[in-house]
Amino acid sequence: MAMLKRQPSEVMCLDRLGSLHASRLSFLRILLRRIKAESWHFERTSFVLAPTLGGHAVYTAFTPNNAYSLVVFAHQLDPQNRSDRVIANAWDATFTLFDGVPSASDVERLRANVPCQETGRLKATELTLSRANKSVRLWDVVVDCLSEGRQPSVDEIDAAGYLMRTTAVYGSGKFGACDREVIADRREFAEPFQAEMLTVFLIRQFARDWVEYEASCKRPDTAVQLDDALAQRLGIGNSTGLGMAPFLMNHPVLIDHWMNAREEAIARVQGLINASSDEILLVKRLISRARSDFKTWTSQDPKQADRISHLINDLDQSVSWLESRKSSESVWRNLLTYARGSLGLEAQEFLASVILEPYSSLVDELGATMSVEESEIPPVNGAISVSDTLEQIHRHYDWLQHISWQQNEATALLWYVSEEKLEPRLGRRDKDASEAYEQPLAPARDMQAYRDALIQFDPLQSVAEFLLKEPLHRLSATRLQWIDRYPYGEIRGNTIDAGLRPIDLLRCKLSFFGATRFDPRSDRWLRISLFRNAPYLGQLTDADQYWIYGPDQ
Amino acid sequence: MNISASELKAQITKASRGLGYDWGRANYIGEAVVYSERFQIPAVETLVTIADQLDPRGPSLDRINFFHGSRDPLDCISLGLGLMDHLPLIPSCSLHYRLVTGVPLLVGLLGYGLRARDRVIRLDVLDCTISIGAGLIGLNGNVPAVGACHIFDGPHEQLKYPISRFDIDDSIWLQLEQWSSRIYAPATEASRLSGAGAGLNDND
Repeated sequence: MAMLKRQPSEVMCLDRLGSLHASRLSFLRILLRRIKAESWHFERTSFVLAPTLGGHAVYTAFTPNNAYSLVVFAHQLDPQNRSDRVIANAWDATFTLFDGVPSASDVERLRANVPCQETGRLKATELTLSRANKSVRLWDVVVDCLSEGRQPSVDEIDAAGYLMRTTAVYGSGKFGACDREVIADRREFAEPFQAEMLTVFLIRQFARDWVEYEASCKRPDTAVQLDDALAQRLGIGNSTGLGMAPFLMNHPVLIDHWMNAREEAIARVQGLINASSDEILLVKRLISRARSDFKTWTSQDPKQADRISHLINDLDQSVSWLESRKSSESVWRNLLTYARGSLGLEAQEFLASVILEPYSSLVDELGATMSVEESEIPPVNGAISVSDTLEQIHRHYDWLQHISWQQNEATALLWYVSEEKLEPRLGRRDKDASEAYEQPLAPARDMQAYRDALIQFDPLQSVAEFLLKEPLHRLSATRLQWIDRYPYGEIRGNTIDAGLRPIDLLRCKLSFFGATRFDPRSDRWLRISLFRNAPYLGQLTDADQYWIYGPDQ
Repeated sequence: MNISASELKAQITKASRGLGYDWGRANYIGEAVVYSERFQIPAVETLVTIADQLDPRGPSLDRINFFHGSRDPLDCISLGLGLMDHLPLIPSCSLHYRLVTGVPLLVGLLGYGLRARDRVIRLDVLDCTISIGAGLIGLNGNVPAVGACHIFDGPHEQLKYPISRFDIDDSIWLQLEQWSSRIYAPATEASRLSGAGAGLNDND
């Protein structure tokens, strides 16, 4: 049975975007499936560290056709300088993903640049640039335990969830690195953010190796290695702030492709008339695993803590619903209908992700549709008439009529970039920054202004004629035509409203990366984990493909 | 300085905004410059050279100037944007302009305008002929900065291979950075508090 996709009007609202969960189509899961399917192998080709001086290491991934090396520089960082903010200028470790196997001279060139991060320069041989800090909560605990010949407790491991936390992973030509367009035709980079995910996957291995190394340096006679099962519970943390939010607004066509792929997958699975008992059992088992894992998901944010608590209760109810159903006919459609009527957004979106799991043959191929060559996205088509343009606005932006623009709160916020290390910021329009510095991150307000200008114009005239007279609306004119073709690209909300929670935007993007354990630290930044419960290098052959749901108990 | 395409586009977009263009036009200028530079047509240098002649806040081109040419020199950005918007309305064009400043930028805007479209436009300027299509350029001669332009539909000739890295003179890059810096808010303590993580212990 064909099933209609959920519409953008339902999916693209901020509160739902802020409730998304990872799925089979998340980029880190796509990466690990490819590594396993293509039997990549990994080598640690260099590990030249000194206990108090830092050093470097190189990890190389060999794919069937190429090699990629994570080049690591470890540093001794004064704890007072340890900060996750963009304005930091020192980190415990810095990284780049090198295209190939670096020579000694490559490593020396990178040593002069990678630790500088944004003020260094990369070449086309570098695919990403990243940095990470040690977890203050966990690092020393693990070093102490291992050096004394014992393992840290599960509770200590789970409380932090990671040994190191990245604070940026740059790609796509930043700071002189390779443009995505140059590597887009390599099959390992066909899906989005694969170079960035590979970088983080290798960083996770380095974090484990480094903590074991420090333990062995501290007490060589007694030190032991970290237990595999405990190590698996550790991901790589990530602190994400306002810099990620503009991405969703600046790349509407790409976001459409991500959302569209996920919604198509959900529609395909909901459209199945019958689910086998094995498929239903698998989903129940994964809900149960996730439920256990969510109990280790803590947040100091009261709202998120409440949402986690509700999510766990909702998952209990969804299992009860599955067990009480009298027929397996259209079980997934009925489950999501039940969730929509009875459960919270967190549970609705978790269930939308988990029902995809039994259906790799229906879902995984959609990963190939998630990339966009932005060089193929056309500019505005000036031939469209003003009246047709107004119809497009009515079709995609009818929700604008619910915003009271005359109220100050509707335009209270202003996105800008500080000259201080170009940190993205969000301030009050009336006190923090002048409109001269405003970034183009208010598509709702701008579309309203475009509409207001269009209705003053001759409806039979073209957009080309309109822009000749009203050039300031080019941004919205272009965006509207993209959204008309790619309707999942627009966020249905006012991104300069006083009540905006930017973390909703961040969570949407992070869920597509495959992040878990969302932990808002304010309404502007949050911490997450990547690859938590995933296998390490060399463990993928026999790995459980459902690792993201937590240990199989 | 050796620059990636995404760096170049971002820098030109910000610099154009710093020069006073709105974000919509600034984005198009960024795309146009990268298009031209891919074919080693010096759009960056042109932008820096003619920046003081551009008038982002001035009146746009009127219809008469646009369709019938103008006695005064035409600004490549206003003309280029108008042309790229109107191309779908003119299935077969033949337009003459007496004097256009910033021809390398005009080439880039036309190239961006033809993206994802199956059409080739010829631009003859002085003794240079340029055929422009989606991601393709045919070039015979050096593209002048200023000249009379004849724009018409025509076939591709003398195709050039695009490049993906760009060597930009340090002094030009510095000028672009200075314009870009106009869009950054001054660093103040109050502003610092509006960044993510401000006022909190951001360690873990």
